[in-house]
Amino acid sequence: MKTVVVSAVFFCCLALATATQYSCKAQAVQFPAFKSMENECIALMKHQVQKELNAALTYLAMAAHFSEDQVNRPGFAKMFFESANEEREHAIKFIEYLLMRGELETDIKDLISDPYPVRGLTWDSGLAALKNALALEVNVTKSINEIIKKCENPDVGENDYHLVDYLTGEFLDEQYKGQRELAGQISTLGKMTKSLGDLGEYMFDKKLLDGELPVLG
Amino acid sequence: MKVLIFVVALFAVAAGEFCYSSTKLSCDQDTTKGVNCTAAYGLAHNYIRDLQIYANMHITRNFQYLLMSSHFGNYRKEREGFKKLYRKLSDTAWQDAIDLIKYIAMRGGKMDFHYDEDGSDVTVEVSPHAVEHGLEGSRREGRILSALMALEGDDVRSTIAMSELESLGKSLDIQKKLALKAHEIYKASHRHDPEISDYVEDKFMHKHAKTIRNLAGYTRDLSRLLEGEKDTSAVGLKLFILDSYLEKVV
Repeated sequence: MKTVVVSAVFFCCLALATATQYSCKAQAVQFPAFKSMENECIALMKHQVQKELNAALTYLAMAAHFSEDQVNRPGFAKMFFESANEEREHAIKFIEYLLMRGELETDIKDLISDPYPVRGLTWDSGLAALKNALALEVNVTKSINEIIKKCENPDVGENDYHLVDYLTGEFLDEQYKGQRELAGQISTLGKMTKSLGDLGEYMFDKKLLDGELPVLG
Repeated sequence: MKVLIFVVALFAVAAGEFCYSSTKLSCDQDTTKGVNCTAAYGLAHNYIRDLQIYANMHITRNFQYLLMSSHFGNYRKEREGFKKLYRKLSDTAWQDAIDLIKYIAMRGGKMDFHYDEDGSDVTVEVSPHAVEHGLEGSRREGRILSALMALEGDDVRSTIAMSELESLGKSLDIQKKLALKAHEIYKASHRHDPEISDYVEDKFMHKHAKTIRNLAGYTRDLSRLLEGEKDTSAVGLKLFILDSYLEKVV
């Protein structure tokens, strides 16, 4: 019954749309010019959404790995599930900023194209995973810095003060703190596993799970 | 002596004590290398692939909803209610994907991000740079999201940037696909691994039914409001009113 309704509605809209060009859509409104982002900047911001989502999927893959029964590191799994959620939130923040500046009117379809976990990474140990996570974060930070550089001095147009300020305050701050946290954890775990390997990782995992490790910010 | 241990182990194996017998054999050889104790039991391994596909479906659809939500957040559409509705559907799909990944691990399986809606392996194109540095995300050859959109919309351009009514229709179709896949998993597994079918029923089926009922209700409301409406500014006002209601209710 519902499919009948939906398809009836669809045909109604289609028929009326072709006949009279309205019925499902409100009339268009005229706007004075107010958008001010430069094209290079917009492109870089859109590309960053994709990068954040790739990072999110990579963390998801790491979390899935540490959840397996034969790996069994629930602390690492918890940490990486949280990181995956965070990266997705970052991507949403980038989208929100673009919407706020009046962008993403017609080109939204290509904004997200199949995020997928970064390939070629292995997580034979918790330490390897933390090192890969740090490398991933460094890559993302570098990319944000590129946007800042480009939007401060675009080839065409003006310095985008607000965007640069926003990226620096909202994103770089969190990136650097996150990197410092990971570096500290790598240091701790590296020292714990130096001679007693598995025991060190086992204990570290439990501390991660209980939130006993120092967290920044 | 070793023969005796071996015979005892054989009896244990015959009695179905695989894990125990592997630990006994290993310990008697002063090692734990041969210990074979996994979380897998019964016929769950037959359904892990379906669960992987289901998780990947949720991930793909979460991004589709996110795009739809963002579309209604742009200044021209300015539909806060629709934006909230699709954002909620996106967040739910993402969390459900995570839950499925945890569930697959619980039943002794591994998550695989390759397999999606039509069950076929998606070939991944990896740039040499990506392999070398292992850092840059790689693009898929068979881009699931865009392929889906091409299949589902006569005009690919319009499958995200839709009108309000079209978007409701789209989301209803998506939710039904997700609901029906749950039914499929249930039907396949319930005689052989009822724990899986029970999980799928508890976690997904009832929630899906409610969501689908709500979406169908909104679609019906909007189509009745807009029926035969020839005045575009009246269409605008009606959309505004429905959107304000959605904003409160979602």
